[in-house]
Amino acid sequence: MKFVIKKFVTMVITIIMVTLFVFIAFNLISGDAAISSLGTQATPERIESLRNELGLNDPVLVQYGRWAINFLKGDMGISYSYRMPVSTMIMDKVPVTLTMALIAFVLMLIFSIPVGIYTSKHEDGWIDRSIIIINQILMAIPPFFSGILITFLFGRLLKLFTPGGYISYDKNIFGFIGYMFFPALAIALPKATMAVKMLRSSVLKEAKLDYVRTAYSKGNSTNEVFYHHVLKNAMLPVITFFGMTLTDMIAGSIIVEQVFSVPGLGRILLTSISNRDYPVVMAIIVIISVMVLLINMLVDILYSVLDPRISIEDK
Amino acid sequence: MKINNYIFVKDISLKKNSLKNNRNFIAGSIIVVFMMIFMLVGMIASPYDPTAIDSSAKFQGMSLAHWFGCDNFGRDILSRVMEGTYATFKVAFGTVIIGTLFGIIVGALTGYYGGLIDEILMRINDSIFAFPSILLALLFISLLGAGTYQVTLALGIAFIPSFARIVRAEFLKAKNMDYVKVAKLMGASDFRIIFIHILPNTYTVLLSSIMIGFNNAVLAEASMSFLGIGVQPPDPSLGRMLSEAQIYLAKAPNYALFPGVAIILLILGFSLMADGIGRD
Amino acid sequence: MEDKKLILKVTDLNIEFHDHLIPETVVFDFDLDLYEGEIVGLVGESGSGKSMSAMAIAGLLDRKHMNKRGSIDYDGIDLLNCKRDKLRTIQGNDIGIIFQEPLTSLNPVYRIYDQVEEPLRIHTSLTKEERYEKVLKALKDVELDDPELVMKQYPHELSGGMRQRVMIATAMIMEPKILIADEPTTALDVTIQAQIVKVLKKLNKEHGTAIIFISHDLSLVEKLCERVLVMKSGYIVESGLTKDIFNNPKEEYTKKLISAIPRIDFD
Repeated sequence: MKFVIKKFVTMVITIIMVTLFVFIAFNLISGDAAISSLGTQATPERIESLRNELGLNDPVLVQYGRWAINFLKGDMGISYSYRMPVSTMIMDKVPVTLTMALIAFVLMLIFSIPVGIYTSKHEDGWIDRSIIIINQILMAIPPFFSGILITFLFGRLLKLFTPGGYISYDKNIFGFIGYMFFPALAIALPKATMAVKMLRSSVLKEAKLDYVRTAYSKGNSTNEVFYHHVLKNAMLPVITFFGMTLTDMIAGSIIVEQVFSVPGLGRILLTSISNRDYPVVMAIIVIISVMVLLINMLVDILYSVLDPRISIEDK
Repeated sequence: MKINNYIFVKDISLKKNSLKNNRNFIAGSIIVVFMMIFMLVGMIASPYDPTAIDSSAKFQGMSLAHWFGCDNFGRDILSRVMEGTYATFKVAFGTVIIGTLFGIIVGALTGYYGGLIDEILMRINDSIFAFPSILLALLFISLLGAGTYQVTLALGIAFIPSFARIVRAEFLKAKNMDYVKVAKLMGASDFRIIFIHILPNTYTVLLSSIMIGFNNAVLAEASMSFLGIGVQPPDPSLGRMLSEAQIYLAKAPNYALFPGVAIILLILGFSLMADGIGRD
Repeated sequence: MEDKKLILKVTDLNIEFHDHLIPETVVFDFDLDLYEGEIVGLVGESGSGKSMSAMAIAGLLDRKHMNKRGSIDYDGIDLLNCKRDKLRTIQGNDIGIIFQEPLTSLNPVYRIYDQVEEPLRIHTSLTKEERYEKVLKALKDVELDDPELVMKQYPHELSGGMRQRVMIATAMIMEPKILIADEPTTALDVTIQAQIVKVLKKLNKEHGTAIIFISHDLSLVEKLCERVLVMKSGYIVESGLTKDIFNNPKEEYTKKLISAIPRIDFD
């Protein structure tokens, strides 16, 4: 419990640090809001009074605090280019990106765990060797290229989906998930192959440790030794990796959304970056950062539950 | 040979592994060298001007004149892939230089001296490390603007924490080794101990993380260009070619295929090399 | 000793490694007759083949990369050449084993209770409550101070001596006929060593378990064992009653080993 609280506090501090950095950085580059809204012709007095009105003369930390409270209330500012509240622009996009990342995560688990177990159980067999080679090549395919390959193969040749024919989740939830399966596959592929490799090397490393010999000496069968003893230990580093990939997948969806024309967070983020629409960029970066940090905390806690050695060391 | 111990520790595994790793390293080096030669040929004797538009050659298929075919403006894809490989490599190289240099400095100082600065820097480092590097790069790009140099700088900064982490761990280990203690007793300066004594001893770890760095940098650069915020047109880049080719996928699959394969070969080569060097 | 029952007969055991370019034999013509309830010492320097022979008896030799000849007869079953399924019914049930490194020999992610209980789950159909009682008794038998607490702990939370006691409790929980102790005290402090030896001696008396005690520490062997086998480079060079060998060693090698014992008079 102490460990959980400590992790939570660390996460909150990190969130504050990150958002503060983002806030200051964007305030520096976006220039003086008073001048930009009144124009450079305005009298210094008018600018000064607007600055006071907007609170721009307050210390940075006060401004940050005001911004943070507004942000939590759902007021993320007004988009420069679209003249509409940022929150209405991005809030309905969050589930799109999250769904894609989650489907990708599930696909990765479904693929990597069985394959990883198979290859490590049949170490050095010819199937293991071929899987390892194919795995290594698949690992080198970046998600946007595998996205293109998937579009070509499943979309154009096999006609399993219409490329570019995104179906919104509020129109048809099954159609939405069916469409999202393909971009998710592109994101999942490189991560799944990495997980296979990790799981295999982790199992092979654990299999050489002394406790495995003890397990045999008790009369366990090879399968029992593998599933009850080796695998449980070998999964620990892989689980950390899984946690890290979930955050990578959220970030990775930004790119793959482009391949499949999915209107998620990535799409707006990129348009906003090129339009220098800072309130939008800032809001999206803050939202993704908070998700990333939250996931990292959960993974740390999960890990401490699974590995009895962790919480002790941190006490 | 240790025979009285641990039957499950096969003594052979060490030998076999190093052989296997060498195989990985050799395969990786061959691929990387091949790509380098490919890139150099493009620099010295590119078959066509990569930016020359030839409207009569639009979407020409693969032929003796245009080995990889032509794109939507009739530009020679082979020349563009060569030039794009060079652009990707340039960014990757810059990124790795920035990442390693500052990573080594931060990691060496924090690992060697420890204390409060170490604590603060590592906390910052860890919170940056937790972020996907793509996201970090996007954040810096939105601050710095798009372009080749901006991307190099952004990716370089995004890569510092991971290098710093690795170097710091090595220095923490080395700090308590006998050879460092002896050097201290003999009155060597901290500077000397850090750079002459410890750093050369960390080279395997460093080398393998540099290879992983290249691997990640190539991927990140290609992603950035794919998103249109890396190398700016009309200069060719592998990522941008892919994003353009995507529109004409049905018409000219070769347009997407070759830049894609070039990216895969670069990543595969560096990751195999990293595999071969590294491995505890 | 003649009236005691022969429980294990090892004949002409040869072990050869095949994992290097040149095959290497590590055990030559190893013979051992083990009688009920006795303690036999197996001594020799590291690399002499003593642990390899013990591993063969415990059925823990890797099946690949290795060539084995001879027979290990236990209760009419040849442990060296029988099917793995057959071997498993004996491992942990009739033959228990403890190792040099108690920390790494315990699975880091399981509580002590689960690890001590495991042989019961494999070899018996006892109920949960019966198993609990057995585990508790086994932990008490190895003289752990607070068995109820230890059960709930993880290996890294225990001291080296406690871990080795846990290992002994695990090996002894099925009340095996044979306990193989492979350098059980090497990784421990001298005071703890004496305690572990005491526990082994006590279990030997109470349960009648025969012990094969492997060590390079002759002073411990002298205290514990009735019979001794001296091994060198894979061969048994000398064997006999402990007192005979210690008083009147025949081989030059044995003499050297004995003279290497630091003699400290405690009294």
